[in-house]
Amino acid sequence: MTAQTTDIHIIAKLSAIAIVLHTAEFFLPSPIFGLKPGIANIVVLFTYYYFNVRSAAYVSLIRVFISSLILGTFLTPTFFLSFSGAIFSLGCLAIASYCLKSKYFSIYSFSMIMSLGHIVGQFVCVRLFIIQDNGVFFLLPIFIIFAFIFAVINAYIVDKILRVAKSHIKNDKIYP
Amino acid sequence: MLPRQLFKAFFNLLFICLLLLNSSCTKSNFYEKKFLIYGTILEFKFFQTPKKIADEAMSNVIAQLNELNSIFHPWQDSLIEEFNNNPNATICDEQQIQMIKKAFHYEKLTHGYFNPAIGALIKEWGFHADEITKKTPDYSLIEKIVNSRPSLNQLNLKKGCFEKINHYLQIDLGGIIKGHALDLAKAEYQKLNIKNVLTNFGGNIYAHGNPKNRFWEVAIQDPFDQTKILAKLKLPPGSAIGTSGNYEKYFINEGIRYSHLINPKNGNAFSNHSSATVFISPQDEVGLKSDVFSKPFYFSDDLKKTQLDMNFDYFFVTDLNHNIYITKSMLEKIEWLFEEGKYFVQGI
Amino acid sequence: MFKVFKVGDFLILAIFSVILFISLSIYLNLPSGDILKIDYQNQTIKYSLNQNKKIDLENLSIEINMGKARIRHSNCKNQYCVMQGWISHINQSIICVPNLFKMTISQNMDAHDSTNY
Repeated sequence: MTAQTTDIHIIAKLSAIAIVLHTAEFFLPSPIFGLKPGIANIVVLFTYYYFNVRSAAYVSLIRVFISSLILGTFLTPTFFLSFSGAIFSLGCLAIASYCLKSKYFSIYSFSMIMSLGHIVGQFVCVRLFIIQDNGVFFLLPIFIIFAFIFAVINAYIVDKILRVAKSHIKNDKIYP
Repeated sequence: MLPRQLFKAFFNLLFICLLLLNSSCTKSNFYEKKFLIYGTILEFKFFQTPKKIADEAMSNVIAQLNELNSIFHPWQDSLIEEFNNNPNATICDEQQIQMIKKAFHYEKLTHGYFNPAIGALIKEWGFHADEITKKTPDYSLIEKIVNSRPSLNQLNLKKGCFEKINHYLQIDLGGIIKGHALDLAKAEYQKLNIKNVLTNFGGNIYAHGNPKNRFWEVAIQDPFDQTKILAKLKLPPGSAIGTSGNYEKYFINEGIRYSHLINPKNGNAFSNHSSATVFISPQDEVGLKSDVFSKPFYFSDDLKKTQLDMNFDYFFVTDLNHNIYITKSMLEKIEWLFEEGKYFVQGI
Repeated sequence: MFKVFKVGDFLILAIFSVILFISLSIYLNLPSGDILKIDYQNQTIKYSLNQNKKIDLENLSIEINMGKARIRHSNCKNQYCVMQGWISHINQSIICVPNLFKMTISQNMDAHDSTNY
């Protein structure tokens, strides 16, 4: 196998894990509609550090499409919510990876930027297509607080995983 | 890599920010309080004022009102009551003389429509009592009082004391005391450096400052239905509003409503108008003016003439047949809220 | 965990906190409303919040209790709207997507600070 096919294999495997996590998360109870820890983002963040933004985008979008098919929410509001969240969060990640040097910004920054992008994307989608009322923005503080908490937790987990991965692969390039 | 101390310091800073935010939030609340003083409701609404200072201001204003009442109450035991009933009594206190001089100034300004010397007329109509009882006055006595033309002019200042020339003269400052109380409150706010507060004393409202991003807004009661609102008005900082209406203290005899507002010109407790509302732009003695200036328009038969005499523009009058007469400048300020077709608005 | 933090992280954290504080201060300074506006089945109905009242609609029942309102029951699957509890501030709303239901708190346009008489 060439190096490229190995990469594709890994991306496929990561996508599979992301789909499983996303599907599992769907069944978690949540006090407010749409308030979820976003554990699938662990995989996306890992992919970003392991490969690059492009691979992270593959994993994220494959996850959104396939898990919505599995859950039967394809083309429903739930799907568009997670889709717009994923797009915004990937956009933020791309901009961040372009602008922010990893010398100064650690995984926590990227995780927080991604989760904030996710929230903003979902709110924009909700405001534009689902609930056309400015009232939705009054839920924003609650979502930002939880986004912050889960971003830090997710980043911590990814950090641990990457350290293990680094010692296994013996590749210094993937994680500082 | 950063040392742990810096990390801790940062979170401490965040915590302090949160505390500051919290305290600034509690400060922004309104603080409202109502008091019942001599049958009149005194209402305060503070904005962004520490509770302690607000309480101090309110208790000071009430203390001054109690003092005023003990001097000027027209039918309970007071100095003025004694002066009214005793033909040889005199008023020598400098503060009271100043107050009476002030009242006389407004008597001249309103061409006698506001008359603080007609206590005898009000008493004869039976409004010098806590409970209004239906009473037909002695019209011959009323004629005598009116013909004696009571006025504060008939007080003689002799050796620093006021004595009356006309024995029908009885001082009743009821038409000025509410407005005066608002001015006392204004002075108190300035003294205590209170910025934003709305004061309502018996319907006369003085707006001190304004809440964040808006003006104080007051509703004007419908003169024919106390549960309804006639109009709404925004009060710029330092302005006041006052209404004289026939619905406040009155009795009805044979289908005619006799109100506590008595026309000094003819001694009649009856007017063609049901209410007169004035808006006073920010100026000195704004409270007093809000109380006094409504009276000429309430009694006037010729609004245009009274308007020119008084040189005053911001008012409107409702008559007994659901007509509203309003000046152009007042119309720009007001927002009508009555039911469609209930009133007919026309210019003066 | 602390060892991983870098200079830039604090910057991001600070930006995050500023956004949070701004949105929180807006959220906490909301004045309380006095009108409940219900959008349901292409109708808009307004209720005063200064009362105790239970309103039964086709798929939901709403309760108003002295300045606040909530959804008491709903026949939807997830019960998110019921779990949202009481709302009392202006522009707060509860939405029940399966029932295409929305209720919002707003301020009475006739609101005033005091009454002149």
